[in-house]
Formats: sequence, structure tokens, C-alpha cells
Amino acid sequence: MGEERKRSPLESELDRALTPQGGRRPLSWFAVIIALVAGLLLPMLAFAPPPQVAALFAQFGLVAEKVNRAPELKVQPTPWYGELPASATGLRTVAALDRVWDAGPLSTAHQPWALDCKACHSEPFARVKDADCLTCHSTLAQHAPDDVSSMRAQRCASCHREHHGRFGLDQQNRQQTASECSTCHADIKKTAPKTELRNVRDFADEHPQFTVRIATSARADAFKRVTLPEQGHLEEGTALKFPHDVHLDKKGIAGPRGNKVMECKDCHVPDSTRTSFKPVTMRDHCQSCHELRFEPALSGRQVPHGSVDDVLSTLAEFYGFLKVEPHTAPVPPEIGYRARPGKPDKPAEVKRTTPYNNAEAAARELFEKTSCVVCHDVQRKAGGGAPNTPGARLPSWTIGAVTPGHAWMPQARFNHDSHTMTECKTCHAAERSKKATEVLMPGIKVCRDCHVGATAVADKVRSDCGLCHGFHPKSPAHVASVKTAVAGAKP
Amino acid sequence: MFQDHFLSYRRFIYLKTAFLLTLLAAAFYIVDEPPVPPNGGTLLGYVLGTIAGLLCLWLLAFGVRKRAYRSDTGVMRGWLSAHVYLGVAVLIVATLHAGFQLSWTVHGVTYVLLVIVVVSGMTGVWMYFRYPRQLSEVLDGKTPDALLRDIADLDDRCAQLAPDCPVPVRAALAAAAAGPLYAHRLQRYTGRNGRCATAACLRVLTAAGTAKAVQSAYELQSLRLHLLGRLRAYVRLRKWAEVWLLFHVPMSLALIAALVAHVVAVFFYW
Repeated sequence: MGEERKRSPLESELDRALTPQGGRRPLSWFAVIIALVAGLLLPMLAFAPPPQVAALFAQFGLVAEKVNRAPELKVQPTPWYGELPASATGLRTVAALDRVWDAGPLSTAHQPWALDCKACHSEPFARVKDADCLTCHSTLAQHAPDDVSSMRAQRCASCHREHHGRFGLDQQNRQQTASECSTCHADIKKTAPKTELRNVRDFADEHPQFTVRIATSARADAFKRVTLPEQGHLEEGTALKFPHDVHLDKKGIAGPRGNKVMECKDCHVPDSTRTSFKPVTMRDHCQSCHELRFEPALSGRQVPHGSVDDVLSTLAEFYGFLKVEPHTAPVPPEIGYRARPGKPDKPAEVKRTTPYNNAEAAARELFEKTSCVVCHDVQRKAGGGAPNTPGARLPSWTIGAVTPGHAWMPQARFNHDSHTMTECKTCHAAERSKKATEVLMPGIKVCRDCHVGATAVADKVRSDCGLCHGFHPKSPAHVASVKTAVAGAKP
Repeated sequence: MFQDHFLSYRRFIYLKTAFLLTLLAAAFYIVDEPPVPPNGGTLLGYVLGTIAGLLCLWLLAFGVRKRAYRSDTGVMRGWLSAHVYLGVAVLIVATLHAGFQLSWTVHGVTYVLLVIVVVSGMTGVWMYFRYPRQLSEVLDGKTPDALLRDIADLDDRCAQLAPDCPVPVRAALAAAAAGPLYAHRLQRYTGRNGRCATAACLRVLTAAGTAKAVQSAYELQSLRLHLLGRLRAYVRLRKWAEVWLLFHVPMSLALIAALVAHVVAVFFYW
């Protein structure tokens, strides 16, 4: 140290060059502070700002409730900062600074609240509460009442996990309700001692045969649930005569305008739900072949496909008119009925002399031989047509009740549109069905040709419970039935 | 040499540890079938996130241990070995924790910072491998001060030759002796000086004829330029090592801050 000499300029320069750079500490502090302020402090401030801060931001239009206000929305969030002047527009939290905490895109339906974290996250450091969901979704029924212990532990968000993309919730509703279903449904009697349901674990190997809802009254206002048979068809009462096999004959079916090869879609047109079909009507689907003509030689007239009395009145009026205005007929009315080739000239029992006689002959033909009886159960009834109608003096008939169409599986999520890649007959054995009473619903075996359970299998459609089943009951009756079913279960 | 290197410390014990950790995480990730797309919020997501977060804190502790010279918790070589291997592993665990999702939020930025820190760490390993050898090559057994003394020696000898040289050469020799190492500070990082007085002097000497004194001066100045080059290369390596630390350390600390924000954010809006 004693003989320290003066450093040369070059030595000093080297010393300077090798002096360690400062700045590691300030740079570190800078980076840490930036991260904490932007990532922690500002979002927290946006959640619960001091009133002065809120007021300051409001002045610049950076806080306002307007952006998501729409009168039709059930939830009009109360702004935490109080009411603002109507001119204030912008974001619902302070400059939406908490958006940096966004855990991922919300589903489309929830995006109006994308910058309003508090709409769902009402309390910090607490999981989203069911009450927050039910503010809007108040009409949703619970799957099972809260006295079922396994349901008590479930939150809405146990199944519905947000922040998983625009269609995340849709996707989950179809597929992800599955995971937990079998917790109860694998041994359902334990949870719901009085249920009619059978155990189910997975669609692939432990799922009961389908149960359909069969009408027990001709008006289809009373039903019973019946399990589909493993072989053959279930029958549902109807007085309609309709052999699918005859109509779907590949060689075609004879009609007034020649041979016609029919297809399912000639009669079955999907309705707007794409699950079910528009009702098949006489006018749109049958009458082009099954005409209701009478006196074909005289007229193209058909009787209406309506009540028996309407038919009788139409006939009485028609022949009455001919009597008054005979010149309107191309041939004399007395011989008009001869137009049917190969038939006896006159029905022996009826003298075609008066309009009533003619109308009666035509009615007998229509009801008992040519038309009504083809599809309906037709019975002659005592007495005549309705009093005080033109057909009052004519004989009358009763037509057997035709059960109207109704959903056999009203709760199932099934869409025919999703299955258009296959033919109708793949699932519905209509080509071999001889009777209209047959319920042509496919059994579980048919579905399993393509669908497996929750475990993926090559060449098969993976099918979680949610693919076909809903979770929330849709009707008060359903809610009531669940309540009855779980009554008496151990809590 | 190999058996006592930090990468091969105790027969790659930390490489094996990191590999096992990564393998386990990947296996669970593949087998796991969460009801929603894989993300930090599933059960496995929470587990992987906790592991990655704790690892980050532990990796940061390396900086503390490095300065605790009197600490006897393991040897420094072992710590570095673990720091390097587990640092790479944490990136993989964190990627699986995120379920390969990335966004410009506090969550995504935390991940990006992790990538930056780990990649810069890998750069550090690469430098750690090259620089000691390069430094010893540059210095060739001498110290920088010894090189400076050699240069001063050359300058003395040139000063003795100067009277025998033409006037322009004399001026150039004087300028070379007084010339600085660098024309400006940034040249410390490039290791080059385009305005080097010694290089300029050599150009003058080349054009100054074949007199004996000029010839000798040329040889001495060539040697001087060579020594300057070695000094500059030495400084350059030292400076870049510093730059690396200036990047890696603040970024690591920013990562920890972002990590805290990330965790708080997750549970704030749970």
C-alpha cells in the first residue's frame, strides 16, 4: 500500500470499465413495483375504491353503470359508487382495472358482464355463490330438494364452470354433468326410496331400457310410463288404421294418379324444435291419395274431413241442390252413381228417388265402403245426424277416436337434425310395421350401435349423461315427483 | 473436469430429480380428465400450480444462499446444479398447470415472465460454460494489470525509437501511447474501437517506408494492438456477464411479484 503509484490513464480507464454496473437493485424494485401495482393494487382499487378515487374516475367517464344497462335485463347491478350523472358512460368498475385478473373468456350469454366482475364475484376471497347465479336464473328448478345431502354440497359452479371460452358452458351442459350423476343414480333407491327410476352408471353398460310415455286416453291427456320391450313393439291405443309397411312398400302404392313410391318425409316434416315433427294431417299428407269424393260422375266434390255431421250435411245439401237445379248435372242424378265401374248398378236397399235417398246412398258408400272405413273404426249408430242440420234425417256413424301425436320421450334431448346422416329406418322399423298402434321408438340397443358411455371408444360417439338428459326439472310436476321420490331418504 | 462440474453434480442427481418431477407431472396431466379443459383451476391444476409456485420461491432462494457465504447448507455447486435443472423443470410444470393456455392477464404475464426468466437462465448456463475458458484464453495466464504493464513497456520502447522516425510517425506514436481503450462506453460491450489510435498509428507506419526504426515501431505497435484487443475482449466478457445478472435477477423478482398477484387474483375472484 505504501508505494502506491499513480495509475496511468489506461489503467484508470480499465478500472472504470470493470467497475460493476449499478442498477440491479433499482431495476429489481422497479420491476417488482410495476408488477404489484398493475397486477394487484389497481385491480383491488377497482373492486373497492375509496370514494374520492371513484369520483375522480367518474369525472372522466371511466366509471359508469351505463355500459351494461339494458332495461330488459333482470339484473340491473347497483353500482357500488352510487348514482352517476346520466352523461357518464364507460366501464362499470374503475376503468375496469380488474380486467387483468380475467381468468379466461366468458360464455357468450355472460359477456355483457365481462367487465363487471362483481356481478358474479360479489364477495372477495369467496367462491361464487349460488345466490349470485340465481339473481338472474331464478326460474331454474333444483334437480333434487336440499334435503338430499349430496345435493347440499353442490354449488351451481360445481357443474357450470365459467371462464372456459365462449361456448364453454354449452359444452359443459352437454357433457360434464356426467361425472357426478352416478354418485346417486348408480344406487338411486338409497337417495330416492320411492322413485320409479332404475339404476344407471354409464350409457355403455349400465343403463336401463328406455321408458316411453304412452297415452292412456284417446285425447292423449293422461299418460303412463312403460318400458320398451326388448323384442317387438309396444302398443299405444288408437282407432286409426295405418299400416306403415303398405305405404313404404319399395314397389310403391297404387293411388288415383298411378303408382307412388312413398318416403317417410312425405308425411313426417320436422317441426321447429327439430326434435319432433309437425302433426300429420289428412289434408296435407293423406288426401292427395285418399280422396273423399262422392258421385264422381257428377262432380269433383269431396266431403270435408271433419265431423260426421258435416259430412252428412254436405251430402244432403248437394243432392237437395241437384233436385232444384237438375240442369247443373251432366247426367241425370238418378243414374249418377253408375259411374263406379264393375259395381252393381243400384244398391238394392236404397231407392234413388229423392235427394235424401241419394244422400243416404252416398253416405253409406263413404262411411262403410270407400273412404272413412279405410282408415277409421266406423260404427253405425242408432238415430240420425245431429238435429236441426240438413243431415238430421240421414243415418249416422261414430268414428273411433284417433289418439293425437305426442312426445314419447318428452324429457330427452334428442335432435333429428343431428342424425340426418343416417336413414329413418336405421332407428325406426316402420317398413315392417303393420299397425298404427305400434310405438316405433327404437330401444337402447339401437342407440348403442353408435353411442357409448363416458369412456371414449374408437368409431363411437362418446355420450355423457348430459348428452341426452337435462339436469334441472322443466315442469312443476317433475319437481313434485322428485320431491315424492326422495321422501324418507336418510339425510 | 467433468465429474466436479455443477451440471454433473453428484451424478446428475438434480437432473434426475427434475426429470422425475416433469415425468410425473406430464403423466398426471395425460391421465387426468377434468370436466373442463385442462387449466389451473382443476384439482391437478391447483396441485401443479402449488408445486410450481413453491419451486419458484425456492429458486429465488438461490440468490439469498449465494450471498450467504458462511452458510453451510450444501455446497454452492450443488445449489447451482439444482437451481439450473429445477428451473427448467418449473417451466414445464407451470405450462401443464396453465393447460397450455395463455392470455394477456396477470396470469398470462406471470407465465411469460417465467419463460423469460428460465430462458435467460439457460443463456446464463451457456455463458457459464463458455466464459471461464474464453477469459483464460484471453488473459493467457496473465492479469489485466500485467497486460497493461506490457503495454506501458511497449510504449517506453516506442518512445526510444521515436527520434529516429519521420515526423508523422512520431506524432502517431505519441497519439497511440495516449490513446484511450475506448472511444465511448458502449464499446465495452462490443469489444471493438473503430477509432483506436494504435490502429491508426499502424496505418501511418505502413505508409512510412522501410527504415529500421519504422520497422521496429511497426512490430511494437502490432503487439500493442494485439494486447489492447485482449484487454477489450476481457472487458467485453466481464460486462456481458454483468448484463446477464442485471436481467435475470430483476426479472426473477418481477416474476415473484407477478406470482403473488396471480395467486391473490385467483382467490380474490374465486
